[in-house]
Amino acid sequence: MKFFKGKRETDVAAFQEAPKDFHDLQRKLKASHDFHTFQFPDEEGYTISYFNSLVNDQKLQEHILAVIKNQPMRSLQRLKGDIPMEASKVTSDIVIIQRMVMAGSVMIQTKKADGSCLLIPCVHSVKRQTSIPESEYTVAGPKEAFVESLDTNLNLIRNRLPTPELQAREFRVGSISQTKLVVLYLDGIVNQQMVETVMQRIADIDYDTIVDISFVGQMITDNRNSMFPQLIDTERPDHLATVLSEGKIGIMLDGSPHALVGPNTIISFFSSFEDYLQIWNLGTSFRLIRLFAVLFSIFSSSLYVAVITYHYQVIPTDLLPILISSRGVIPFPPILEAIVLEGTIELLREAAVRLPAKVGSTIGIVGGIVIGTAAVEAGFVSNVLLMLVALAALASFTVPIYQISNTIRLIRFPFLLAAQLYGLFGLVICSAFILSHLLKLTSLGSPYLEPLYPMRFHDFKDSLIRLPFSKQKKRPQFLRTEDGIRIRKKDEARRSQKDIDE
Amino acid sequence: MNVKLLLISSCFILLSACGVEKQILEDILIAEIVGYDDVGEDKIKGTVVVSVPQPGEEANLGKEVYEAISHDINATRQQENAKTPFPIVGGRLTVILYGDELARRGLNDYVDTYRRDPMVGRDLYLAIVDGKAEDVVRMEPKMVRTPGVQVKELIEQNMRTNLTDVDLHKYLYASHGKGIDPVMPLLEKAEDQIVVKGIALFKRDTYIGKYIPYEEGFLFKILSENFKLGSYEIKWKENDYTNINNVESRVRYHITDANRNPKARIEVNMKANLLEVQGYDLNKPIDVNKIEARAEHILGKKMNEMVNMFQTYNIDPLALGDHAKSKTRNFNREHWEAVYPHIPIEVDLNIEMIQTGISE
Amino acid sequence: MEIKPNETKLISAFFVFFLMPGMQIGVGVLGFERIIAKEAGQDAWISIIISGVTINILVWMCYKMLGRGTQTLDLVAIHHDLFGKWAGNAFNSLFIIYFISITIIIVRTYLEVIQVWMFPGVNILMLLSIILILVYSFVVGGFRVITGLCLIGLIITSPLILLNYFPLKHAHFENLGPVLDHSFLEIMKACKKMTLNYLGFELLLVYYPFIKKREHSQKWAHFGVLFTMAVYLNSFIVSIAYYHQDQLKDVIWATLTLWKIADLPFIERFEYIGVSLWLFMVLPNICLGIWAASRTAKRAFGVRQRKLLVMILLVILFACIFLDNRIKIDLFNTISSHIGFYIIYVYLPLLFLWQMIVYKLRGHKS
Repeated sequence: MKFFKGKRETDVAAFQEAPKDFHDLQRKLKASHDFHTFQFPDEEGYTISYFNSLVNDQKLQEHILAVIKNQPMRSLQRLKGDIPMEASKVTSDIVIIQRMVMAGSVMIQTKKADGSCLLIPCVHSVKRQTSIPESEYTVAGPKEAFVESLDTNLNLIRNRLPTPELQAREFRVGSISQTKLVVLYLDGIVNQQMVETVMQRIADIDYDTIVDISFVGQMITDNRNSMFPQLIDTERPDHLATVLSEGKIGIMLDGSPHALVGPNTIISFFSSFEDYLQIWNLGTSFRLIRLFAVLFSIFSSSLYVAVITYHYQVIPTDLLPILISSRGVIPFPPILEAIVLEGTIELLREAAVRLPAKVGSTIGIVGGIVIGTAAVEAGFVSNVLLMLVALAALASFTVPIYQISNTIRLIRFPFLLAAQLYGLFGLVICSAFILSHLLKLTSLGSPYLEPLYPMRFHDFKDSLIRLPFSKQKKRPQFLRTEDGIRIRKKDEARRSQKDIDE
Repeated sequence: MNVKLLLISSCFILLSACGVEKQILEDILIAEIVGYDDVGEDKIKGTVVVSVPQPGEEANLGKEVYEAISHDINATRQQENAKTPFPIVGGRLTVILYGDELARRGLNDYVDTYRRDPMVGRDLYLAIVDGKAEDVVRMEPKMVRTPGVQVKELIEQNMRTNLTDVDLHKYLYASHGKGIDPVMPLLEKAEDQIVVKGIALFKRDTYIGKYIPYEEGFLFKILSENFKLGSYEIKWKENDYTNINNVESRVRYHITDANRNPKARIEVNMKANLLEVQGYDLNKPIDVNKIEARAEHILGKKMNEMVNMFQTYNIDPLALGDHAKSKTRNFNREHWEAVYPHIPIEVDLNIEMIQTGISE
Repeated sequence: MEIKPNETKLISAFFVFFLMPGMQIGVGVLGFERIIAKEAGQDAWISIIISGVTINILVWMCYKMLGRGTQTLDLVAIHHDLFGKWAGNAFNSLFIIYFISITIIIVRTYLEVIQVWMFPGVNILMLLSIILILVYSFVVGGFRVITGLCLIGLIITSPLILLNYFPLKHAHFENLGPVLDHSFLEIMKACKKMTLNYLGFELLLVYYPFIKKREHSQKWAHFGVLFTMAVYLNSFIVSIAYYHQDQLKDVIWATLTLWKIADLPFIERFEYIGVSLWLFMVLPNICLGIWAASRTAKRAFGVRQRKLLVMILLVILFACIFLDNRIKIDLFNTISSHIGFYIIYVYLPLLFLWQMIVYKLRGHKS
């Protein structure tokens, strides 16, 4: 194994190998038509070269060309002092030159061919305005979402957590893309071992182009084959800020409007940020409703198959005629009926996601009304199942995190097959298999099923239920934080002990 | 990991090929009510009603009646299957009816299969039909959708007032347990209706041919369990009747000296209200105490008669033997069984009128 | 000699509470009422309590034994310590066989329940393979995962206790009287029959090194056994109140039959759900049994546990296929419950005494 790894590393090096000398680099760069090189201010002046597509024209003219024109020739070092741009650099290191030019710097050389050149960052980047969160929309609460620019995103976070303890470690990932990646955490709260695990895993990332944070997510999770996501993908800066202060770790990537958050327990995938924006008892109720909806969504169609195929005995007497007559004319066995219907729903979802929004709503109408009614009338599916499947689909939309809703979509199918195989017993077997998987699963090294197992009573305060903020005196224990206390003030002594009419 | 996944998936594929015997809802005929009759020569005739789906949007169920004659119940099932397009299954049976002639021969052999079959529930009712069970089974249901449900609801409805709790479990409890004898509802077909005629009395598993009439069923229920409904009509003056309504009745059995000279006292405390009093003087408030005393006298007498009747036939539907056993150390069952017909049993009834309706 | 598991593989002392019933309550609770009621009738509840108390004493002995030496942290270490390598391994093998055989009983009995109650025509080989694959996927996760299964299994199946509400409507609590109407001998006989249902606490001797703060776990172990006792007591009292004693003698699966009357507006006949859900109560039994067998074998003979696990699963597979009718199952059941009885009531106390004597002697020497 080690042997192969070693070999691959040399391959990578071969690709990244810097051009042999400056001429080689120049030759490579000039092969692109958007690479401009010219002499300025005259034939005897500096040689200025840059990628037209990366450089901000206005800045170039106002801050660089204007300065150069109004001055006599000087050395590069002096020139660097004259041009008021930050992070400019005089260097002859080919690697740095290449990276900076590719990142949008203007390269200025003198006629003296000593290989050194002045690099002035002058990036022109296309930025989107921050907009309203789409996949994690909440009715109450802030309406800002991350954008593709890492700087903007960091700005959003720093504004919310104005403390020097918020530390951002920068990495470059992707052998070609060299994308900037930032690991965020609150020093003094976060468990250092966890941070090291994350950094180690990020350092181990080996792929050519990383364009989105979900690539990173797949590469650094504990179990890469698991259908269950172990890292949360959030687009809300307020969400990220909250979990950072709990002691979690955030990962952001340049060019990706999402941040990864970890470690997580399975419950955190079913808790919407909105739960915290409401009073605790409402928040708890809605969280429980959501969990129930998820269970319903997973089990409803497979229960239908199990009961209709094997266990007619468990159907209550009053329901029996309804079920029998709705099944009476269906030519398919229940399993086929269920798979066809579930398949149709999946088809509709997939189509609605791929199509532009305006056409997408039409798909909903076509699917929901036309196909559904027609299928029932044609006697292809029973109306009871249609209702169940539609309800299950509806229930699965209540899941606040997009990734786990995909898991729930897919996990129904093994359950359907198991129900066909052994009825209710099959369902239990299938659940046991999933349980065995979940018990083994970890998220950045901490158990996935916490606080259920390992049982931590304290963490129940913000899991299935959400108690008021005054009760959340400690940070979640599974994060093994260095500073576990959240509320330092002593309880205002027995406020509730007041007697009537005092 | 991959090997495991492969193994699991291949297992699933293999298994779907050789799965378990399926009972898809529309490919079975669900028996609702079944009746057994004696047809002589040691044979029985089973009549079963199954519900059949009617095509169409409405949740309508038709019914289909099948019958077969054989020696035992499983064989009749088998023969019925010979006539049906789908197998008949008994997992949702609601009522089993026995003709009275069959019941007189002893029911153990004909209940046993329902006791053993894990598919059969415990909330199904057993009943005796005065006449042919088949006649009741073949009745066209009114109001309710299917005949099974109709008989079930008929029994359930009456169980609140005049019938004791009589499902399969209770029957098995009483017929297997020593010191207790089962009872069953006695149904009858009258014109185009099914009527509860009374409570059929059993010795072990054999119908003794006697029954408690429907109206007296209330008294039997009071004697055998605590309950909260029902009413009884008593004559309290010449030509005037009053109807007392049970609010809550409690029964306790006191059995002393069970191993030598047993004595039994059945203490019944009943809270009742008056719903109907005939022939009272409008100017005077009715004398509740008088009615109480009268009711105690009349009801007590009837109950005593009933208990004596049980002793005469040497049956024990009130489970006195069982109560004696649970109160007595080293209970001598033979002795009890020998003396049971002759022991003094006293019924001690207390009625307390707690309301007189919304008029005084 | 002592093998200390990795720190990350340990469980908190509290979980011993779940491990006890996790191994003790299994398929037996579905039908033990008939067996003990045959011996002691309505007084059998006394036997449940008596055997529960004796088991608590035995748990105390186990803790004494484990805590005595400085490095005798598990059964294998105790055996090696007291009898030397060869004789010790002979006893270890006995325990391995015993663990495997109780696992076989559990698997086979549960399969029988499935066969009788749900799928009479089920292909046993296939069903068995699926269950064993399931067991494999739990056991390879290690002891922590199995402990999690015990906990979650208990949580999932605990709502089934609520089903006891339904029979209570038909209950005759006077069936419990008269108290102490059976002779001491009869009650003791019932105690012996009851033992089989408490088997499994002795696994403590195997998983003891896996407990964090071992000394604090003892009270949880006792609570665990008491919990088991409460569950059995509850089932027995409900059954004796629901069934007539004479009737109970014919009801093989009293608790299961009792679920038949559970009747909710959206679902009836709870036994189908109950039998299925009971897998979560039986799986911890099987997994713990197999884990203990393979762990003991690994400690005794130094073979890789993964290999042993596969071997044991194959043994169970073949054994269950071989036990294909009631008579063979009953015979096997009787033999292994005898072995179990003598192991826990005779061998363990003897081992306890022997260890005490040996340590006294050694103490004198030094």
